[in-house]
Amino acid sequence: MTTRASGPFEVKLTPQAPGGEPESATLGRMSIDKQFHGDLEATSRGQMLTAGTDVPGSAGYVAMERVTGTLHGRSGTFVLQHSGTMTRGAPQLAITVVSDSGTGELTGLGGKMAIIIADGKHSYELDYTLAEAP
Amino acid sequence: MKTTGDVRLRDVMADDLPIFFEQQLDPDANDMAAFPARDRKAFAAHWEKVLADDSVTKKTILFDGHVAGNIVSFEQSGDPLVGYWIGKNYWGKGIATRALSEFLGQISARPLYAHVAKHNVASIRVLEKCGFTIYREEKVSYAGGEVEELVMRLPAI
Repeated sequence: MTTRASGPFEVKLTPQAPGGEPESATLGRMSIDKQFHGDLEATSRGQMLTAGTDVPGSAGYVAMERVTGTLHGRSGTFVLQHSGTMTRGAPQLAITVVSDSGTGELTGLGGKMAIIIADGKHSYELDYTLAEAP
Repeated sequence: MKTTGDVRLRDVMADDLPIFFEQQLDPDANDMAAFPARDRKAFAAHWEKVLADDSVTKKTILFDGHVAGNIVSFEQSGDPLVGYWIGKNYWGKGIATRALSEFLGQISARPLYAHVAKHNVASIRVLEKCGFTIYREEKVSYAGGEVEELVMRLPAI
């Protein structure tokens, strides 16, 4: 059974020095620092990589963030994977709970997150399942 | 690039405005940004409007306690934009990257857009380091001609 968790969140991105690769004209690397509220009371830390192109409106980013806190009262950690691609102005974004990344009472967590932005406020909707760990 | 020194943001104060005025008068800065200088009267009217508008977020950028420039966020045609101006004396010290990074933690509108002249490679790199990518190209009028401009975009994450 899928359960929905939702609430607001705040995020801070901090640019990081390039990670050893030759100074690229189009790569960005940032640390992620988030606070989730509502059904998911948690903090997350992670990294984001962006890649622009010379074609306006075509770009991509990936991010991994480790979330630590409670989901509907169950405590543990899990990892969220972001995969965002913009093709000539059309954005596509998938945010997925990494399979078997759940720990503690969140062991076996699976799901997908959506980010909603309205009136300058960020909120999330996490549709998740909690299965028995293998 | 030298990135030592302390970069801070604080609210804009009246005493900052004469410094901003001088910073936006610099012909090299105008050419770099493809943005013309305002005369004293137009500058005063512009900042009076900006300071009175609560929907505009505006901060003074301090470098080791000195006024190095300003950074603002406002809405234009429904899109939230960010813009900054660094005094020429403060270029090449990594100030814009650190100021923008700090500012992005204070404003939540996403996606967020920035307009930058295509020849302003340093500013494009500042935006890229902060997660912006090129979204579209435009042409803007400057100094009696046309200049290519990039609209860059920061996604929600």
